[in-house]
Amino acid sequence: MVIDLKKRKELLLSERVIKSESESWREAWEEEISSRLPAGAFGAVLARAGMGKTAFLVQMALSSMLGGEGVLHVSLHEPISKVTLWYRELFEKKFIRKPPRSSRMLWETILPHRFIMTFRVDRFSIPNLEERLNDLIVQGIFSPRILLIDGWQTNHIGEAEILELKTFARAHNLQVWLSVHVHRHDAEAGDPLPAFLKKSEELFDIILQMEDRGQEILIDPHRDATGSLKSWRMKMDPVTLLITAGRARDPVKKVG
Amino acid sequence: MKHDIRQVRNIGISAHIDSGKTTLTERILFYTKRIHAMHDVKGKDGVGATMDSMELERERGITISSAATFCTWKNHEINIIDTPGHVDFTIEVERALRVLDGAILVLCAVGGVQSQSITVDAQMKRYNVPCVAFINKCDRSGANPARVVEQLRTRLGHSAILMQLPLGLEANFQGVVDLVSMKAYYFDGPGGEIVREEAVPDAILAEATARREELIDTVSLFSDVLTEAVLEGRDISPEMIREAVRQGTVNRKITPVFLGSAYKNKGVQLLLDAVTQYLPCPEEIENTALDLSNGETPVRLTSNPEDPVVALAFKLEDGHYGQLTYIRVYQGTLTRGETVVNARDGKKLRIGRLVRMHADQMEDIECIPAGYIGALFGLECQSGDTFASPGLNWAMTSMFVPEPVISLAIVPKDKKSMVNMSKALNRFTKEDPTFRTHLDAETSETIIEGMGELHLEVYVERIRREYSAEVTTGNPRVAYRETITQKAAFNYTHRKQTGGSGQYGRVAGYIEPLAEEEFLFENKITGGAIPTQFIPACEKGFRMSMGKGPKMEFPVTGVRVVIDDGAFHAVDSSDMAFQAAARGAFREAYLRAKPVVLEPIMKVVVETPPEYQGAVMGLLNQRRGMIVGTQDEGSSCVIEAQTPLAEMFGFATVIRSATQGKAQFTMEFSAYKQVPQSIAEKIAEEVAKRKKSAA
Repeated sequence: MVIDLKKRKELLLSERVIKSESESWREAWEEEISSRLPAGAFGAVLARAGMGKTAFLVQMALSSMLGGEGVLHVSLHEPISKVTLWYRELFEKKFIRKPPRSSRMLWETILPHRFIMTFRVDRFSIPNLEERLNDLIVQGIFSPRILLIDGWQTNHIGEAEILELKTFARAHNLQVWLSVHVHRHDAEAGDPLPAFLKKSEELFDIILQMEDRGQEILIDPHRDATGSLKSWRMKMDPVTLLITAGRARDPVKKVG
Repeated sequence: MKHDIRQVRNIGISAHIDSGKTTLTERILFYTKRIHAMHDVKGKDGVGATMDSMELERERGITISSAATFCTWKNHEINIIDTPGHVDFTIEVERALRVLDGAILVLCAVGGVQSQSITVDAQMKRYNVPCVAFINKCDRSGANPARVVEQLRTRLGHSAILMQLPLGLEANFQGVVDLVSMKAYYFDGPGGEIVREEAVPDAILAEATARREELIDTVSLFSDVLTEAVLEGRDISPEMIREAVRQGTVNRKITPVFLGSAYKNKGVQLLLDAVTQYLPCPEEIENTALDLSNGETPVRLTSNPEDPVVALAFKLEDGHYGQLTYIRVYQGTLTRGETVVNARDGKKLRIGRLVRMHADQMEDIECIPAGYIGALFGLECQSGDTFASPGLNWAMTSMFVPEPVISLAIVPKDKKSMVNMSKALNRFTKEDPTFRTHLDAETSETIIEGMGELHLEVYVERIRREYSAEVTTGNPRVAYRETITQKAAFNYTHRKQTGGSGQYGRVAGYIEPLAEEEFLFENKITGGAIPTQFIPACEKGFRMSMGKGPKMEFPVTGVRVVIDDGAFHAVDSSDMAFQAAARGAFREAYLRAKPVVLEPIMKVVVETPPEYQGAVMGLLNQRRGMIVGTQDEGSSCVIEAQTPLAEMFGFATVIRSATQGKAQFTMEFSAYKQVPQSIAEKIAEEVAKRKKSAA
């Protein structure tokens, strides 16, 4: 009997018995969080300005892209060139130890899995986003699985917007991650949750909170309906902005 | 000719296509009394703007070569280089920026910071050119200077500071309020030549005062005198503010922003004042040359007119009286009759006629001192050459020249056309380093190479018009490359014993992919397996093989060759034998190293009204484009994509019809990337067909 190795590999890959080459570059914790979030699920990362919310979102995006999932990155405060720079820099930092040739090839492979949309804050709305996304889907240009919204100002978000986003996410089978800016006075008063989150907290599957501890930034779960974060302890290096995670009982391991 | 270097400004006017920079230059020349009538770029009077001196430019309404011109304003001598706005002519912009001390960045009050402005800005940063911004077309419907200032900050990262406030906008645009002197300025007379100064209208006084406070707050960083005055609550004079703004601008810390409408003759005189007040004189800019006799160590140039001369030829033009060379003197004084040395070839040259240019008219001068720009006649040289006094072996830093990405076969109709065409090509290749030409050995066709479709189109048109040569062109051809993707070993023996002296050489080693460089040769031979004197011959053999890849005969790039063994014969080994052995070894290993074809990928930026966004994305997607993202700008939308050049031919026409002419796009080379397998097969078929027809 002749075994077609190529076909066999494709079959095993499709049945997820084995991992594809790019997928094996993902971290275990990244896969765990991503796999436990169903389509239509919401995640949010809360932090004060300049702490690394965008860096967190970009790393979640990179992980999904490595897993072959399409990421739609919506930025309301940065132009395309800056967003692409975030990806480039974090990718390079994360894979600095890999051979340059293979990391370059990997970068080329994952790039088609990303689409950036930037909006002016005053022009961003869910119907507007849906119209743009339909343009992409209908023409077969891009079909995302993950939606990141970065820079949506909390005073523009109400309960109605969150419900609208939820319907949109379910209709398009999207996992959604939001970055949420926490104001200094709220943080100091010990109440980091903005009004819209308090009212619609149950719509979120994961809410993470970033806290500055000088040498490191801790990423603590404020809410975790998936249970995926119980076994992980996450933190961010304030210099490289890379997320490191380790098993809750194990000493923390460095990623990348 | 007065020679006070502090009163000299060498400036460029850089901008996106259609932001009105040629119109602005025309107005500047009118107000500085260099011309006595104003014409528009696409003028109804059929004359065209003075700076657009080439017939073709007038017809297309775009500026192609940067004509240099000279004018005076309030005891200052200003040299202006009008630079082209299309990306295909970027080398012209780069060259202009190389010799400038400052620039005016023209922005459209409606379009704002467009894709080309980003490219131009990146070039200014590369050459550290300080700039002032001019927001033009404030009279147009949809004009919004505040938005443009915001874009300058967010998109270009400039610390942009509004120096003026508009008095009315769009059709109601009347003049500007100067925040430094707190006066309102109106522009009267048929050509706006009478500047009327009045008190700031009450309606805008509160806003103007607040903006002035902001301005002082920002620029106080650059002046201790101003900071002290602010802290002590003393009166702040306009001179204090100007000095602080000047310091900030010269050091590229801030970009002062001015407003106006060149077409409606408003705000141009104040911009000229700003050029003299805020942009640096040549003395304030540090220029360096490379000392060629001392390992190319940088040497600082003095800008002293008494020192030995150092000058750079930055542009060549074919005038009525022969070759006209635009030159900038960095040090010393270039005088008529003087002898200088061309640093490139060491040839001595005698300076003949020196002139000062005003678009296509000229005035004779005796000398060009340090810091000045002029032109000279009768000098055989190439663009980018350095001239220095005998004894100085200095060259100005070489300019970054990108590799051409597109080629075109060009065939003259008859013998006369052939002679004229070769004259034209000889001239153009000297003028423009990104334009190249060669003879295809197989098809015997003349091939021209350049940076884009429009780039080559313009040169073909110039060959037809300026040199009256009738030529036909083939289809544009993309400059493909080849590279290898894995390591492969070789062990090749070249042996020939067919009469005469024999040839013998054996080389062994491996080739492997190289990421950052085109070619690297390493000799790891120990024990004299190949004698040292034959190593250069081996390298030469490998290097020659890179010119034409064994796969599809495209140039090969990104290969590291390591030789670690070999053999020689005491009598039969020679340079020739080892070159042949190296070529054979390369052929042997190459196909086993999994070669692939690379194609140029272009960064395409389309700016379109939002209603056509879907259609434009569809067009890009059909062209194997990878859309990086879309940027929503309210009245317009910017789409950024990475698209293979091979798919972009004729895109201008397609996009025009798909968007009713409302979208515009720019395209520039981004990187070489591997061609997908299906396309590679098509290319192979084409190459085979071409070879067959050539045979």
